[in-house]
Amino acid sequence: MVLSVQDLYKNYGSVRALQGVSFDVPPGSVFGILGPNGSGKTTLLSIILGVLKSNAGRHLWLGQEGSAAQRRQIGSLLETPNFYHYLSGADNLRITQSISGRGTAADIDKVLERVRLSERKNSRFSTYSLGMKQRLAIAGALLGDPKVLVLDEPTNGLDPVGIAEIRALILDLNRLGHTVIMASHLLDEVEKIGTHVVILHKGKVVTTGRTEDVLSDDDVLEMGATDIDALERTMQAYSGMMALRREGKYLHVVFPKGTARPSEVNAHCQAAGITPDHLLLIKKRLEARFFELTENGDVA
Amino acid sequence: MKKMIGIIRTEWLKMRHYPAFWWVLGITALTYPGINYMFLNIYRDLVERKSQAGKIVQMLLGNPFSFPEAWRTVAFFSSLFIYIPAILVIMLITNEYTYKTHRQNIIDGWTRPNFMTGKLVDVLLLSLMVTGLYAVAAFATGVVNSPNDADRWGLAYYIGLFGLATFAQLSLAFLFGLLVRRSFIALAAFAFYGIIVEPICAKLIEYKLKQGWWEYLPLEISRNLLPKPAFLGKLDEASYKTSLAMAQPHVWYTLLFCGVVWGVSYLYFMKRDI
Repeated sequence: MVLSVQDLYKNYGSVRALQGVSFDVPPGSVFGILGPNGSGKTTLLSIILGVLKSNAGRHLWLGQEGSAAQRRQIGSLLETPNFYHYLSGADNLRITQSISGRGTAADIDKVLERVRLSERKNSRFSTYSLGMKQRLAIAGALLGDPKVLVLDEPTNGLDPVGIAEIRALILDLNRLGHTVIMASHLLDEVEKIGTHVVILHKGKVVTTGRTEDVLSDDDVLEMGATDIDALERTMQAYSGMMALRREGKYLHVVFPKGTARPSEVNAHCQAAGITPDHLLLIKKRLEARFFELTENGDVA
Repeated sequence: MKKMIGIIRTEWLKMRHYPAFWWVLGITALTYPGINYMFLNIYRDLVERKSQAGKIVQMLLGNPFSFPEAWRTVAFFSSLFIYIPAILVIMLITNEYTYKTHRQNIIDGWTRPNFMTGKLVDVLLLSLMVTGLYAVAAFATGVVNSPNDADRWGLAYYIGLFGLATFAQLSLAFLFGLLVRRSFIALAAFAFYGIIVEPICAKLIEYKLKQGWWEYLPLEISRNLLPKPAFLGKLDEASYKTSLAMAQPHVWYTLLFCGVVWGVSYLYFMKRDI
């Protein structure tokens, strides 16, 4: 494993930011750390990047306890871009290069070119727009072509073109065999480029695994009948149903992906003396799945 | 050794294009000759009045701005302006907090002791620069005010004493910045402590409690390395000689004080979340 997080705990006074978080990041993955604001994503990244100390638990980079030597091999962007405001973009990257030992002076120009900052490389960081600051931080993470990147909300502050570019960049890196660990509160972002995901909620792991498994699109059957209460009672007895809930005047019945059979459901209702007047198979929206996972707080 | 060179190089990269660094250094470079020239004129006025006091000063001490006494006199006056380089020391650490670059330095691969060593290098480098400015100012003052056969290097060891006192006082300024974290509050707190709090405490301890340990207060420890020129105080030769004699043990106290300040700084940064 590139990273193994084992039973991490972190408290800020009485606030329990992380409560026994464990997961593994396989090599060559784009690993999304997903969760609503305040779920513990940045605290988790801060611990694995050495700026916070955990109260209990440990993390291993490539099977070794986290250390400064390992951090030098990892390209990282944590929270906001942290640079010296009075220095130029290029000077700031010289400091990154001097500390990490990643890359050469020539590589600084290459990464600035890659994030389209070459023309402003000698301007002071304080004169950069939010998007340019973010791009400089990504350039810093890319310096020396590290095999592992940790990116906290990498598309923050970027315009739509910038967001698309960074997503393409991450996919490119992944194709070249790099491992990218990416925290985001944007489900869409993780869904589009993540191969694996861990979902955090209130400092706990809700679920982790391959993105397609964790965020699978369940089948939802939207049903209506004159007597909605009777329909609900009838569907509660239907085998293979995962969940049901009222959505306005309709009933939403959730089935595992690809298992909803409207004709069989109709036959089941008819047999119970209920005639559905509305029967529509819809795909469950990913947001709903995410919301369901994090709101229920079902801890894996 | 390679690691140390890397740390020095990185700190230099942080400073070399920092406008405030060069501004403060420039102001210090102007202030040191300026303040000594001002006091030289005060001394000349005192002597030229042909008063009884002036005659006694000349008789006891000769010209404090000629060699070798110039090294000592200029050291004292220059040390009064420690607050100028202290501004820079405080900004160098509080900037890291403001821009969160202290976190980035750790993320990029420094250990916490590496980061603190970087700051120690900053304070040492600045102390050396300030000491260099003092040495130039003292030498120039001595050359202008001395006959050709003067003992030019008799008190040149004051370069070392001045350097040590500067390092100790800038280290204390650094500690203020490290603990307070906000530049203007730290600057104000350091100046308030140095100009108001400590002198009042020293006088209270000396006169009210009749105790001698005022000389161990954080800034007094190193201030005692650089005695006040006799012509500025009461014309008491005995107390002047006592203050000169205090310098030697205070070298050790100052070294111990520096050790404590940096020990506390390292421990603080090691233990805290950043």
